[in-house]
Amino acid sequence: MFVFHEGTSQHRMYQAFGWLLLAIPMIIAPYMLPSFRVAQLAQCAGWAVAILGMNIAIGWSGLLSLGHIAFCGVGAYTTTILINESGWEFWMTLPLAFIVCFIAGGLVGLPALKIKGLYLALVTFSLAYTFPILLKIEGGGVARRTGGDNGRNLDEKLVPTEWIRKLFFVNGEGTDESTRIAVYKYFVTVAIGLVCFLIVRNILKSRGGRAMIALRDNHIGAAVSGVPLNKTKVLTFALSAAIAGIGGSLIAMVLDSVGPTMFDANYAIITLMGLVLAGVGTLHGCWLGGLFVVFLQDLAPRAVGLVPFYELDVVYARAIYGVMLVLVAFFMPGGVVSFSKKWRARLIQVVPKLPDTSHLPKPGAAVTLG
Amino acid sequence: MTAVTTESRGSFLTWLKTGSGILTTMMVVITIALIPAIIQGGLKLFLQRIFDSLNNGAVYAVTAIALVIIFKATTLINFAGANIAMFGAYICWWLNTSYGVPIWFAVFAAMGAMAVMGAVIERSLIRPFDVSDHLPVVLITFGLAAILEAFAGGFWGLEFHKFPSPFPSDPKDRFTIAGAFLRHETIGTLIVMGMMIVGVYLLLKKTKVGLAFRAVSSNPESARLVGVRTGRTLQAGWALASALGVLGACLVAKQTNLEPAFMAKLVIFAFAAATLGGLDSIGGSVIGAFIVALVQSMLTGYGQEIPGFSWLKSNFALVLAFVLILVVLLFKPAGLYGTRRIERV
Repeated sequence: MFVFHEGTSQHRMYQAFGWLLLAIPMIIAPYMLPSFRVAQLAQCAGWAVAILGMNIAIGWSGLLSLGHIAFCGVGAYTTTILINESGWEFWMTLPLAFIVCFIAGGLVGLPALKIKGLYLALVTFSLAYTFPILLKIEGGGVARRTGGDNGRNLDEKLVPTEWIRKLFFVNGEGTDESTRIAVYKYFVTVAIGLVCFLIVRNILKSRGGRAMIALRDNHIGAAVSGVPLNKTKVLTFALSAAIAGIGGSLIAMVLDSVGPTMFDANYAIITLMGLVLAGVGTLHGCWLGGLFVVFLQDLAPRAVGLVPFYELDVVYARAIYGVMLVLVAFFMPGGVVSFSKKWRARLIQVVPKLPDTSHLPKPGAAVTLG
Repeated sequence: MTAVTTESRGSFLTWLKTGSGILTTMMVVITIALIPAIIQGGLKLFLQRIFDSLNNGAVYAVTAIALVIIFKATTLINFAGANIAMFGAYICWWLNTSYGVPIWFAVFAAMGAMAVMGAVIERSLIRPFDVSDHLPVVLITFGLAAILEAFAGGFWGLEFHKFPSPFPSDPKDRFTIAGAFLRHETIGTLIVMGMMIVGVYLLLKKTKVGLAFRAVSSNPESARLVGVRTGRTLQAGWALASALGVLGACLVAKQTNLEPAFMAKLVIFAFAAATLGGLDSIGGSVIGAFIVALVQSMLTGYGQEIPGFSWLKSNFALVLAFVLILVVLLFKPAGLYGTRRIERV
């Protein structure tokens, strides 16, 4: 059992050690792994941002939304259409994707003012069901722009510029171009993802973030304490949609293509699973969620193959998702993050710093009123 | 705490705001909107579209009732209901084609099997949770849906199977009314649905089990205090809902063919029907189901003929269902005939 007092140098060392343990593999991994794995990791980062968006709604403000995959899709298609039709750079599409999804989220969020709990789940799940069909509408040139059933490939691919090549691939003789692009995309997604995480972290610590959490825990109490319920709900929903949209843009950029099957009800369930498996309402759990989304799809069919005595069809991979959802609900309601925190608390204890009370009157001292 | 309000019917305007008023207004609007189409396309086509919608309406109604029963009992929206029904339809098909069980026996056997399964699901997966905390229950029902879909695909393959019709389904089995064809299948579906509604009504209103069910759905704590075994009652509710879902699936499987996702594609319409009619009103959800089916049939039938709307295809009906759910929940969250619940602090 290790005890750290918050604010001491040992505690800072412990924190730095923890961050290094996370950061070093993140930096080294793309150089060590084959390029398709690097691409998968980049997808993980994209999904992590999408799950972060979902988490703002589900985890921190208690709006049970199952339709964020649609906003993800809006972001991805915004990026694709801007790049293909208007010849924009990928970078420039991100702010616009953010704005478009913010507005879309606000529009869907307006009903969320009146619709509560499971009804909201019902509406948003129907949205997830409807979104792929909306993409295929032939009126107004929608299907032409979105590519309909087939989806679209991105015309302009993100390739590293000269100075980035020098920075990242100093002795890159052994690597081919596809690996370089994969590594570059990985760093781009992770960097943008980190920015999103920072933004969300700071928002959560701000007045608005506290209002959001108060809303989740007790909306009547929050209203009594002066939280503007309607404004907070709509802005929260819009923000979560916008972050999910950035996630969608990143995924489109990593995969160089978009399609209706990437943003359907099936993926709504998979991302929900990623979210709850990692941990609802935990910030860094979202990274884990991204990993789950990508690698469970990879691992589940193999796990099916490992069942002894029976030749099972890959169809059963879906059953694994289902079983995991049920098991999480039963045994790990807080997801992996709170599960591991519980175990860490047995080994390492961090004693919080006492609040500074020097400006308060001493007990027993005379208090002058008025 | 929830309280039930009764609305006074003073004047015409207050009547317009009640479920029946809105329903009448909707029907008038739909009829007026259809007049040009009827004049252009003729009465025969119009009747044909109405007859086509009846079948869908009946199936949506059965599926919606299954949702409503579970919602009434536990205020829980059962996202796995569609796939429980789908699994039952597979069992029915499998008994019929592999063992030659007569189709109606197979339907009842499947209903029984899934009723048992529903009871087991309620006991093992739903009861441990507090329904007022929504997320775990949503996870459980989604998980169940995925498991059932995977197992159906694993046992019986992902390809489409032809489902044997429980009614005479030869193309010649039909009545001709004013030139439009009313198929025997449609009439059969409607009769079965009518019998089912009467059955459910009698069960809830005339039996002791039904009384217990109504007591639990109205106030679980008080019901428990007066000696109703709430757990068992909810279990019975799940069993009944699962069996009804299977019946609905068996009635529709002839038209859609059997595949692991066939009910999941329909359930949004059932959701729409139940929200429109009121998620805790059986009669309301039946009316809602027929309206959804009618509007779907008319929109996809006539919509393509409106200039500029040629993209209105049948899959667009899903969008319609979504918009309907959204609008109803926004402006009349309890639906046409649902009980309005007012939260008190």
